[in-house]
Amino acid sequence: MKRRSDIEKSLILQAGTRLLVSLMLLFSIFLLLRGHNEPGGGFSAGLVAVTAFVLSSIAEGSEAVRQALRFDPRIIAASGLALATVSGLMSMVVGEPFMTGLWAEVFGHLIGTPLVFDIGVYLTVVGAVLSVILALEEEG
Amino acid sequence: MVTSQCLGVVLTLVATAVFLWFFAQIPAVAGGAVLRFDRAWVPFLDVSFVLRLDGLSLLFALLISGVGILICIYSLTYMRREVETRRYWIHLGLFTLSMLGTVLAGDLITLYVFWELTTVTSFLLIGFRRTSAEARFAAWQALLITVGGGLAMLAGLILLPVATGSYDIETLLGMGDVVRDHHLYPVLLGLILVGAFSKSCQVPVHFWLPGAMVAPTPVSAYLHSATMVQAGIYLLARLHPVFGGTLAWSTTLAVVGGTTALVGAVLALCQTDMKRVLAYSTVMALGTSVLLLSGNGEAPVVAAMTFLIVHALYKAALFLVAGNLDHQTGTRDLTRLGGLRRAMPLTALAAMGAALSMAGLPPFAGFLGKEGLYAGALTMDWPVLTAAVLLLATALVTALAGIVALGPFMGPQTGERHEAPLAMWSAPLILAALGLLIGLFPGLVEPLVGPAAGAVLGRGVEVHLSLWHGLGAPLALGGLTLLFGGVLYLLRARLRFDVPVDGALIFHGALLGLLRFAAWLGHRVQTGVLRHYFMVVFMTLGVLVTGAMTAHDAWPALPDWPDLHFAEWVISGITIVAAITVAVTHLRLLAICALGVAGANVALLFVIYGAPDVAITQLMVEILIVVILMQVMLRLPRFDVTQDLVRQHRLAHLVVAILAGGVMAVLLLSATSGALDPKLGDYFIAHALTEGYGRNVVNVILVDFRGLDTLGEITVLGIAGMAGYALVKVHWDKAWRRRKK
Repeated sequence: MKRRSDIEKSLILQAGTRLLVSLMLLFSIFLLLRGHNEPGGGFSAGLVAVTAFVLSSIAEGSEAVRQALRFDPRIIAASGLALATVSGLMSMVVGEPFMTGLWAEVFGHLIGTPLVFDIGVYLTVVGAVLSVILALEEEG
Repeated sequence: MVTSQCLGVVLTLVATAVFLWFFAQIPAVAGGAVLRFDRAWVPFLDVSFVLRLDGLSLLFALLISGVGILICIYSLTYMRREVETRRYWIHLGLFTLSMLGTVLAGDLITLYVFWELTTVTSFLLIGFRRTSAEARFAAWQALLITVGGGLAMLAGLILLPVATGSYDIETLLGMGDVVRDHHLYPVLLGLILVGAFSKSCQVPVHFWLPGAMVAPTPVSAYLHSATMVQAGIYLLARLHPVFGGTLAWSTTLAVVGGTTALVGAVLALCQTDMKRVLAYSTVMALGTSVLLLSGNGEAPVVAAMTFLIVHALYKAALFLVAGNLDHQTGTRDLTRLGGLRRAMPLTALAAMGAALSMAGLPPFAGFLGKEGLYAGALTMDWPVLTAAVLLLATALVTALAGIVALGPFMGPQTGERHEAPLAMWSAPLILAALGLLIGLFPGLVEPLVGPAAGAVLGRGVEVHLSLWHGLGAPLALGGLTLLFGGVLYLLRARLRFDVPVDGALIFHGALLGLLRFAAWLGHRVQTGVLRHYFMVVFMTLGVLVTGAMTAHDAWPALPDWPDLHFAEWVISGITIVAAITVAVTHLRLLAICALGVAGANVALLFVIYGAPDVAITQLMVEILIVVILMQVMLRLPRFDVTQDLVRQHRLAHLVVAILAGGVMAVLLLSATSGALDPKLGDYFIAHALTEGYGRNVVNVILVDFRGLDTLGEITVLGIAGMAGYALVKVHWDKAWRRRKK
């Protein structure tokens, strides 16, 4: 049975991937930030980011992806959950019930705790799915 | 790091402080005062955290803290030979706290919470030597029995306000007639008695106490003679004014208590381990207390309170003596111990004192207790029978006293032995000396017994304890007891018999049977084959929906032939072809790609129908599914091989698949056939921009309006990710290593 390391890395795939991955990651952030007013949001953005990393892992190998991620995917998932919970707790600090949206005007744009929550969702999706896919990639 | 000796000293000091505080309250409580601490806890349910100190609580509190001090001092030396003793002190401290809470609780729910805390801490203490399987099993046994009883008790405690309208014990104590006349009285009584009996080792659940003797000896001396097992007695005494006085109460308690007393005393004779002898004799003592509390008059209740103190003193002392013997000689087997009176004189002295009290000889406190027993028995409903039962049981106990105290110390000495350390002989000696002191000056405990009995009976009680009450039936019975006891002691070798069936054996057997059944059932249901799980799920879904539809005659009408755009026809066609390909192809690669094609087409449908967020998500998910399946594919055996395996079940799979698909289609048709209620949709569309500050209504719903829901979803996602990771790492690891060999 051929193992991952035995298959020669395709040069075309590697070159193409480098371009595509950066674009896809940028696109995922774009999707995340525009989610509140245009189609997008934490879930779709997270999945686009995951696809980018998966494409990269097919081309470069999972070790390169882990290094690029800097953190273990499980930690990313956990911090996403923590961020989502904290965004809900922020409203309790000012006396409102849990998960009331707090909004502030920054440089003409409205920023609020739902955005922080969405970022938490994004990180959880990225972390959870990547931890499974990279583990599968590495075994065998 | 805090050392365990440090913790021990702290606990001893705290116990001393607590004891002194309670001691200082004696004059006030004896004068009739009731101290109270009140805090609202769950106002919605009318539950408060209430601590209440009256005569009964004070008596128990002094016993708990007083004996506790001596146990702590003893443990400081005894536990030096054990490992992980910090845990011991913490558990012991928690236990003392929970026991005090139980006897001081003034609210039914507060009582229950502390009651169960004593169960848990007792479990932890019995299983202290956690490397021993025997200790673990004994701890489990105790836990299961007392928790089972506790659950029944909880049901009774929660139902009680139905009759009385309040959880407060003070209020309860004044409503005895209301409770007794209520139609739920038998149920309430039964439930609460189950709880009290399970905790106080009554027949037939008495066997957990001898099993609990695997605990370190100070634990046995503290919990399983003087405090925790008395919690049931406390409950019976506390609820005596509320539940007592009826035929049901008297009969049940008398029968159960009497039987327990006899069973405990008889079984004690058959034991060779000194701690087990003491455990069974404690069972007898608990049975006696229950028997006494079945009575209504002053005499039995006063006798019960006196007996409580007397028993705690001599039993704890004897347990500590057993601990000394074990510590110094390495064995507790009564058939092997002998002649230690010269080597361990102080321990022998303590043992003598405690045993003389246990046998009920004047001027020891045991004599007071015994006289009280008979005096009480003769005023109860069936005086002759009760007295006879008590005579037999007490005679056996007298014999036991001889066995336990004379056996290890008389006769020729075997081997070189030394006396136990200071802390270890002083504790039992102090307890035995207290027994003598109280016997000589009974007036010392009158201010304790009087208010306690008063709290139980619900009225003021004048108590006069003294060694000499004049010639009368109690004295005669006492003399008879000594006579019979002496005879039994001389015949002790003949009386020992092997117990054929033990409650513990039955319990063990039942538990193993239950576990075996659970394992069998698990293997039947959880086969490990994914196909089987899917089939069960889909078949259940299919059957339930079909059944519901038929039962309510809710089958939706077949829709009209749809008027679709050409693109929609093409997309639907491709999806159907792709789905059929997945099912019939022989190439795994083709199957996975076809699956991806089907999913992508569904995403296209979402785009056509104006749901871009869902479409993006669906497309991405489909791509990732294909990738993951490809990765897994590399490790599976050849496709046609696996296909051959399932070919025999093809028909079954086809049926289930059609059923599942059909059910989903029917559900969808049914859901969309009626008019959809636009209320929610309109609300969200109207308020998304004004309150959610967003124009993408779907996203605003996800992260704002229904944010808590989403938080739950991503928690599940996170957990699924961790679980998937763990499954991959664990399973592949083993399989890979197996293949490498």
